Amino acid sequence: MKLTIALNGEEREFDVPANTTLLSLLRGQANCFSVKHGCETGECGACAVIVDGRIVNACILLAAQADEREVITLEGIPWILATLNAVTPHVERPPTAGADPAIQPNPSEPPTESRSSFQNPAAFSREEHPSAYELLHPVQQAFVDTHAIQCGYCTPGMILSSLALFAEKGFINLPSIKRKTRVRSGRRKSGSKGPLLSEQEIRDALAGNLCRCTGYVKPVDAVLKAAEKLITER
Amino acid sequence: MLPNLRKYYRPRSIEATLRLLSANPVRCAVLAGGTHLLASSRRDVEEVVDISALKLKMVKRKNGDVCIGATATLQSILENPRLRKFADGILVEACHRNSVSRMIRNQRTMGGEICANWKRSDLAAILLALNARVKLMNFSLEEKEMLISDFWSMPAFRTGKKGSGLVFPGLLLELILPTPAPPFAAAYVHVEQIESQPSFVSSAAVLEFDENRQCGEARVALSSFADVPCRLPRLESFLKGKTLTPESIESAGALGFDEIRPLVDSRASGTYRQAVAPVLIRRLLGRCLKRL
Repeated sequence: MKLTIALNGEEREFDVPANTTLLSLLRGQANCFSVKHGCETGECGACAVIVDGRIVNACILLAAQADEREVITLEGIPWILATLNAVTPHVERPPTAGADPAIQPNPSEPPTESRSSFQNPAAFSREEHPSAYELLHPVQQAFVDTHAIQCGYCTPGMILSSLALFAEKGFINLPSIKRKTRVRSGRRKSGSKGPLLSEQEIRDALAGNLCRCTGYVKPVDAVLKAAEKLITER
Repeated sequence: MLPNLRKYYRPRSIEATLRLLSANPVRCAVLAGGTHLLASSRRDVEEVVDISALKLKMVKRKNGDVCIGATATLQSILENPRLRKFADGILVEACHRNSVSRMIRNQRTMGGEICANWKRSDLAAILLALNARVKLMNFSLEEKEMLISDFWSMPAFRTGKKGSGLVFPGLLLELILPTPAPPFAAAYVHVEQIESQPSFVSSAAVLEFDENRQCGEARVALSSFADVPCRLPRLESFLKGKTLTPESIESAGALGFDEIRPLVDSRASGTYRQAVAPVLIRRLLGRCLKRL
């Protein structure tokens, strides 16, 4: 069956059997190897991905369930950084019809029919934003700085769980090509006072990510550190 | 992973969903969140009907009742500010307890808990104690509302085993939770080996009192104690007309559950369940007394 998925800022089309899980699709066809193959029953969280702003297990989600939805994996962090204006595009996209008054579609030509269900299905590529691939997101940097990584198998899942938590709390925006504008998913207002995040909230958010090196203290420290950095930069 | 799955449908109307389900009721399964179905590796499922596009995600108040759509996720219930204090917060507490993983709670739906995991879910005891009702639509497109205890007593549920395809001939649309009449006290207790594991036994109670603080309506239920979640009629009739005191709680705990055959599984023995249930009941009623 044919699927259209907004994967890391790029609209991608796939043709898969009905029983393919999102995990198999991401690793097998989309080259998203940050999504790890773990338990296949939703217990370990190694395959965590963000689907429409919510953190889910890719191993117990059919690829077909992600059709016409937005999926973010760790490979999407350069896109997140680029859309947050942390880096500027290296190559300018040629103007498209409609965007420039000088270039108008030829009225004699029938409009081309698009399968796209997304508002802005423009591709985000390494060629356009090479510098975005050289940067780490503050959450990734915090994991490095606090030595929160041992074997690293659970780390992508933990980072995505943290990003989903931060988006929910309003510390960051998760970009989208489904919506015209980025929508703040959290409730926190800019400049609001009060505790950033409690350790309990972080532990609750990371509870589905099992680390068999059993290193939970450092990841929690890393997320706290990233939260402080993100809130002071706002 | 469903090894023999060949067809996936995501209909946009309830009528189309029921048409698809009725066409192949044995080999076709309803897919809501998928946390139970996809983790089960069932070989008999050849078609799935994904009901996520049916607009059954709502959580709303209607005539004093709380209505929860079949595809509302446990996390959405947990985050709903209107439900935080509903029935002394036992519903929200059980949704959180259902899985420590936010990923699972983001996928797992109320409908899935009622239809696929009802025998072992902590939510089952709470729904029985709250006297929940379900709204269904059968293959003839007739809507029907019934008590959840009657729903689970349907022959399809009683005889249904894992791998037997569709559990009942129709579609669950909505769960309706009546608000207990005040003054009331509600509590939920559970026992497990570690926090991330399912409960060995869980219990929930909703006690409604009159102006003299005597118990009028009492509903107490156990989950994971017997083969199916059950109400405790002997205990309920004992509590009716009584004032909740430490002494009456002690007597209630001593009633025992000889009439129910305890479950024996990999989590706990029947003897352990028989021994732990009275302790849970005492804790449960003690918690109700504190909340009164």
